[in-house]
Amino acid sequence: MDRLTTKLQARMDALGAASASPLRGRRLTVILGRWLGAAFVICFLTGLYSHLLQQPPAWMVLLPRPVWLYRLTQGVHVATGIGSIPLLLAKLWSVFPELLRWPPIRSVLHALERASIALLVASSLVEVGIGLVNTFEWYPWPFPFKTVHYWLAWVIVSSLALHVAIKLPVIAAHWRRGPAESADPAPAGRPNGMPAEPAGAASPGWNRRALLAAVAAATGAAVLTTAGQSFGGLAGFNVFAPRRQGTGPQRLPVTRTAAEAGVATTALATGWTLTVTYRQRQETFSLARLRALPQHTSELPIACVEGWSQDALWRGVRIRDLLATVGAPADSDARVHSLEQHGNYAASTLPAAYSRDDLTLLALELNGAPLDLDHGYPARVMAPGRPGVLQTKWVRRIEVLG
Amino acid sequence: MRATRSPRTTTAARLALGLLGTVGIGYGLWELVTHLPADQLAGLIAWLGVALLLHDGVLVPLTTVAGRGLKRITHGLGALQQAIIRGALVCGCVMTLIVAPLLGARAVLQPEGPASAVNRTILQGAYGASLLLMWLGLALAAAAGVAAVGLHGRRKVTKTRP
Repeated sequence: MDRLTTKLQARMDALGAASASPLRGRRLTVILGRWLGAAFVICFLTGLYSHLLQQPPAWMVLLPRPVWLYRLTQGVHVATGIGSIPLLLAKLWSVFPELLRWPPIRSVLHALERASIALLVASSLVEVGIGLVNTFEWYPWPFPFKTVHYWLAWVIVSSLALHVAIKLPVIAAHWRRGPAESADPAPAGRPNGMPAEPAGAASPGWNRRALLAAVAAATGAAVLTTAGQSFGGLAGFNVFAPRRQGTGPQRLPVTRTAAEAGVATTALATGWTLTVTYRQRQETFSLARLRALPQHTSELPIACVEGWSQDALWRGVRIRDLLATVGAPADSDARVHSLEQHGNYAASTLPAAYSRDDLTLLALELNGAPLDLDHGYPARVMAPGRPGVLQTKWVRRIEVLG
Repeated sequence: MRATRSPRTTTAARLALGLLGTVGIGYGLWELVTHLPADQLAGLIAWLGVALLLHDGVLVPLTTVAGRGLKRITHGLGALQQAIIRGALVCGCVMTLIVAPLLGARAVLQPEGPASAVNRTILQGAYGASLLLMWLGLALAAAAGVAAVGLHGRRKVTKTRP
């Protein structure tokens, strides 16, 4: 048994020496960890905001202003998610010899720590991977995206907190430049090829600074070439995002087409009407009757959970005016039903914070012309500061709740 | 984080953070287990395992092999020139890794080309050509950098000679 252990240790040492790099070191890991930690925390918080907006709990304060708030938070969510891919790869590369450390397990506590790191690494890789691929509306995995992406995010930030708690002395010791080995909690069994302060750190050429510059450049390139789908100022650099601003019918991209929703026939039917109900009262509106009501214009962004967004000019009837036709109070919650029968897009709840807002419309026009079929013809909801999935298209019924 | 903080405060902060993290991990895992039916959960576990294997067993060893090969190829160059080439390769490879799923998505979702898509507002870019252009730009920039360093070095050598 002893011989086997010695042999295995020698093997692992040789493997570690083979993959050793003078660039690796705790200072490098701490710097990359800071960058990645910041990206993950921003990504988590903006993702949490998006999640809560889609299922707002009773205590949540809904913010219709500024109208671009969700556009910003979701654009940042996707950009930091994409930007964290190079950071994650670099961070994991910097600690790779830790994987080959021998003996693999020193105690129960050590085993638990390694298990938590394996969970953190695997979850992070899957999370950024499926997040990126989800923006292409491609789902090649055998589980529901939203559930897994959301709960894995909790697992990741929590394992990150645990990781920071465990590594705090090392992080503190290498927070600033310069060797500080006194606080090193694990001097025994120096990991293979993992010097605390490698000789190569200050040597000219491919040193720590050069590697960090390359990682920063790769991160910048990844963000710069994709964030143009969300931020107009970067639209000129948008070469690798799945969406491009200013494209599509009426110069606006579409997340879900009428054909995909299965409403192409019903939405174009001549007998289309909108029904508004409140308790026992009910009003029915033809398109002509809706157009005869006072029309209002709102400049609102459409901001998709998948990250793309764009400003547009919407014109139609204020939701509060429609609620008034059935005698409902202005600050009522409403349930908006689409011609689309099934799935996430079939209906949405419009909380009072939005239904009473002056900018919230049942839009009939976009950028000066009647809505294109793919943008929700004959009528769609447009409210400020909400995810696109809740801006229900092809509306057939508004049910005032309460 | 600062050294001026008392060890007791640091220990308390570490314990609190560690406890919070442990509870959070339990919460996230519990919700995953309760929200997903067994087959989806098995799928997720498989994805997590394969991600670890691909990263630790393929990607990182590949970078090691590539790094060694590069060292041999760029043997005659100066340290700064080698750094320029490595930096360009890091950028190019990372970008390729990010763009690859985009090309994969298009191959799967729009097998007859972007024009055949149900939704003509997604995956319509010339991603493959852009990626090639990006590599070309990187190669040119790196070559210019290497040449500039070489010239600068030679001029310095000439100047120091009497």
